[in-house]
Amino acid sequence: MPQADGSWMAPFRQKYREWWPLAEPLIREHKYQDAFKTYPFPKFAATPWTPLRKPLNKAKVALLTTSGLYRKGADMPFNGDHPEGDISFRLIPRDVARASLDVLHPHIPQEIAREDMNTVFPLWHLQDLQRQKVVGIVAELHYSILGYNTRAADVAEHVAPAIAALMKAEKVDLALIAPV
Amino acid sequence: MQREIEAWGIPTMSLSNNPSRTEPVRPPRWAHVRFPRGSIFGEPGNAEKQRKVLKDALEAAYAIREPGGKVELPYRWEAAPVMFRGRAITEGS
Repeated sequence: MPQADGSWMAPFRQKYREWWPLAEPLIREHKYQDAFKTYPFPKFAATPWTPLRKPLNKAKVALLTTSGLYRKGADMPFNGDHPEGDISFRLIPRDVARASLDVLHPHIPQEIAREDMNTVFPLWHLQDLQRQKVVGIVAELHYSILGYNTRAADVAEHVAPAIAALMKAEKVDLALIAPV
Repeated sequence: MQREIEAWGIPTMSLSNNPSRTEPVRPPRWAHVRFPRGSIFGEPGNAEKQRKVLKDALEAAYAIREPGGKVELPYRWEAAPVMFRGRAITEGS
């Protein structure tokens, strides 16, 4: 099985330990620009690549939104208050009731998604594209994370492989990742 | 996130409203959209345009042939600027 190049993680974590004590007070005062000026953004030597296996009209497509989307009453909302963010993820089934969805993401104008979830998570348009035979099939599961999290190595090491494993189990052919 | 999912064997495509943040991450395939933070598929209520953005992004995944390939989507924000933390935004984050 192909695997991501994790060689950046140890140097990142080292720099993160130096960055965090300086950044945390700024983040707590909501001085994000000042805090992230010195964030140890990882540097990558190469770009991963998995060839597409099926044409779009035969492909199973999954969505991943970073909007902090969750199902009211079924899921815990994301922890939007933690200064390091929240690295957990939520599963959104394709038959979810639109009215059951909400977002919790303090770093975006949440009212836009609340007015129209398709602005961040176009599941219903994807279903239209399946009916129009543009897309093969809408995946059973879609994915939501909180786009604000400072612990990039933890996301890469733990969260992304968990999501990828669920996508593989369902034989997803293409994942569309929609940051906010 | 995108890099890792791709590396684990799932082809990925992404959208970005902030190329200066996206380019250093070296995502496998991506599309630049000129919409403001919080509304990556376009204005609320504009279903036709949102569906075009989605379709274009999915089709772009197939047009991109090399790792790191990028397309520019032609759409612009056609509503009042989004107000966030005291700033009026029509494009980017």
